[in-house]
Amino acid sequence: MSNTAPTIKIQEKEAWTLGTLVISTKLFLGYPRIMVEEGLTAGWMIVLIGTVLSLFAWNGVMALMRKYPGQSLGQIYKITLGKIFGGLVNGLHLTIAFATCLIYMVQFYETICLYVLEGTPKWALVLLFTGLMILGAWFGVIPIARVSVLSFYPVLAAVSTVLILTLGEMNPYYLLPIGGSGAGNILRHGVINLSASIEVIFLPFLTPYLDFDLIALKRAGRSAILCSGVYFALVTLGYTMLFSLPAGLEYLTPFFQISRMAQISLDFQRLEMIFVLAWTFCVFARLAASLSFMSILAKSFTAKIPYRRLAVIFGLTVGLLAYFSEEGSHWAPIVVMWLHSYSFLIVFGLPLLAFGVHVLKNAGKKKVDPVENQI
Amino acid sequence: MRKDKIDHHLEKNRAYFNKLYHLPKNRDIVIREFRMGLNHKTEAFLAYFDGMVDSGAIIEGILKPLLNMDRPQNGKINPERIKEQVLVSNEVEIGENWKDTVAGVNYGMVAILIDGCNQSVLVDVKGWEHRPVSQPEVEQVIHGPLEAFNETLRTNIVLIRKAIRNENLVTEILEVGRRSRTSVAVMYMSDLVSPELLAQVKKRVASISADYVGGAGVLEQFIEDHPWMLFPQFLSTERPDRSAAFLMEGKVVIILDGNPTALIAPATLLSLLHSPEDYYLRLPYGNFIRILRLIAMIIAVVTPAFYLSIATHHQEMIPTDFLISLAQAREQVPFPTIVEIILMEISFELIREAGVRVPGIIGNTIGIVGALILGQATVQANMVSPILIIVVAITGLASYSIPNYELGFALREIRFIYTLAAAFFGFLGISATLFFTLMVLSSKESFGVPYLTPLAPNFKSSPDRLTRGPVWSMERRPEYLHPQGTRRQSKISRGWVISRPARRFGHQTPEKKGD
Repeated sequence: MSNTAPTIKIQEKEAWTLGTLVISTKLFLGYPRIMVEEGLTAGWMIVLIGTVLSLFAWNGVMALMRKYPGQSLGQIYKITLGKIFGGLVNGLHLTIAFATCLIYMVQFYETICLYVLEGTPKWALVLLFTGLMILGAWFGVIPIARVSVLSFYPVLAAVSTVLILTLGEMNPYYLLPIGGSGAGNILRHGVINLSASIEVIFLPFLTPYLDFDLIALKRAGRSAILCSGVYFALVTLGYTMLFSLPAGLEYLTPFFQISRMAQISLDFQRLEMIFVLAWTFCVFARLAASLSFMSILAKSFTAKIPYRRLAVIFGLTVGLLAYFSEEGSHWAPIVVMWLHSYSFLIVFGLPLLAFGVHVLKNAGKKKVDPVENQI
Repeated sequence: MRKDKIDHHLEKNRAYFNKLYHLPKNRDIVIREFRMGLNHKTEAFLAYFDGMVDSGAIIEGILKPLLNMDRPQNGKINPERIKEQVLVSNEVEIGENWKDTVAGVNYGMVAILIDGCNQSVLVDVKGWEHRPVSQPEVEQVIHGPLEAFNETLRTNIVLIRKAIRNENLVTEILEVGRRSRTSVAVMYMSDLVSPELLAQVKKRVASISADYVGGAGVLEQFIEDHPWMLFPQFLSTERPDRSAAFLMEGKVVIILDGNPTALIAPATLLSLLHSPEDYYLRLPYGNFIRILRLIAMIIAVVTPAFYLSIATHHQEMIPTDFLISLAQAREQVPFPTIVEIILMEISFELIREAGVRVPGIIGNTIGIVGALILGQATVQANMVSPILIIVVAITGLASYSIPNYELGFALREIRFIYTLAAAFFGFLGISATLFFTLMVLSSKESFGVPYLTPLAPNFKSSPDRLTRGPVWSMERRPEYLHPQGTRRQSKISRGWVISRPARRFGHQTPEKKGD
């Protein structure tokens, strides 16, 4: 009951809304475009395949978590792979979080500059994004999770409204041929699309901040993947049906373009700015969550530097890199594609590796009673 | 040097008393010397503050019995005997030392010092002038009780006790102010309140080390968690019925003597948005008001920011015809929209402040005249556009619908931040400020209770959040208060539905046998 950090931890609902929010922010960037690029008219199938596979991958992560109840994934890596390799793996997670955070910031301020506030100085937007990101992380991951609960339904409503308002403009014939770029291609990209849900890995790393057991954690992650997957699929479907393929390959803002099509009367043809409120809010929360996650992860390397100082250091680094990176629109898509193609191997592959090591280490030992092993 | 022990010799006590109270300079203290008993042998004196006591009660209850009392057979006057057999008063205490005696006199008691006794007798005959119980002025309702607290602590406690006739309602009296020694009543339901919450409240009140704590607002600032936070962390109310309702939830009510306002701890944002009338009115009406109030809150905060965003950054949202008329209206205005808004908002705040400060009917007149004439004149002088007058007026009206005065303040202040953010970044600025606001609110706690609960984090409680459920469904106390008992009414609170078919008469189903 003092004026320090909140005493009540993250609840299950907050965890899954946080997971959904951090995963689904990419919906407002180029994600639907990537899906359409990879699957053509069947991009939505890639989303669905990716979502289903992510659920399996999540189960794998949770299988590892069950072996070490009460421990965060970062600690489990250290226990199973040793201090050095475990630290290296945590470092990889940190790198991915850093890269995604940087990419998001660059892409978003470019989007804002291009479509929302044309001609706004870059420094002003970077300052705004960096400032809010650091402030968000300063308050901690628990308030971010609470904010994600509060913003979840309005954002959901905003996305649904856009889809409903554009229903009249959608042309189902644009979904043909239903096979898109071919079954093999779709399957391959479906597997790669596991990367769409990598942010769910935030949750097992945040175990010390969670107020619930592993069963609820599994449920929270599953809900986050499912919820964002369904919305990814719906938006990709809508995007495919709204724009014919050549026009559909937009760089930054497929969802923004979709929302431009929303109209409720002849007079109100331009409603997209209302939706800016929802998706920029998502971005702020996403950036703050990333920064908070990075700081928590970095804290496992160096206990001496306080969390808030780490948040400021990382935040300023991201902000400065974003500001000084010239022509972000050139290199950002390359990094995005790299992350999209390979990040799932690190995020979901390494827990499997750790699980394998755990099995090998305990091969000769007597099995532990699973009931006793539960939290 | 201040001594604490009362002397046996009356002369010494009298001299010390004179010194203590700066007599004869100090003219509002009365010393009445007399000889006790029918034989008039024992000297004594009464001391009290003029105006703080009931003179009639002194004559009838103290002087007459003391003047007419019999001298005991052993010749010694015993204060205990005076307390038990002589004085005609319902509250008599023995002052063991000067500290007790002085504290009693300072709080409207009469001190009797008797020659040969090293104790004083303190008689409670408080009788100062006070405002009678009147109608609430800030939290007015159409349905519901029309009583409000006044400046007398005792009356305020009684008003609550009248509403909760339960032996578990406990009133602890603490003291704040090293020099003012103001009484603070901490009220709670002993069988409901969380012991940690109560201990925290008492600890904070008792720890105040200041000469004078003059008002509930000052006390609030001494014991709140986050002094720099814009939003209030206590719910202040002038209504005994509201205080009683919160006590029954397991909250703590703090009343400072001399203040017509009770502080309720802990406070959440939703509790500040609720009004007693929400519950007194039937469900559909109560919820209608709540939804209206929520809309009003949003309007009060973001309307100028929205107008500014649309007019400055996102003109494409405005239908063409309206855009043309807007441009025409602004054609003659020499200032940018942000200057217009700030100008009008400050004018509106000035009118509001003047209306509150100027007494009586002139205040209302200033409000009306100010709003009408100033608005009309500024438009005619082409200082602001007519649309802006509409925006400011709607915003002002909406901010009046906020039931809590302090929350209204917070929203008024935050409106300026939103407006400035919108001036720089349009909707992006609004979104950024909203994010910041929610981050601040969700990171704060009032006495360990998250400020945005039960929205986030979620706790089990009755259906009473943004809207409320039927009164018979309010079965649980809010779990975020960690009350000693969570259930506040039976699963079937409307006993009569048991004898009727459940489907016809609402959602409650009769309990099965053996439940």
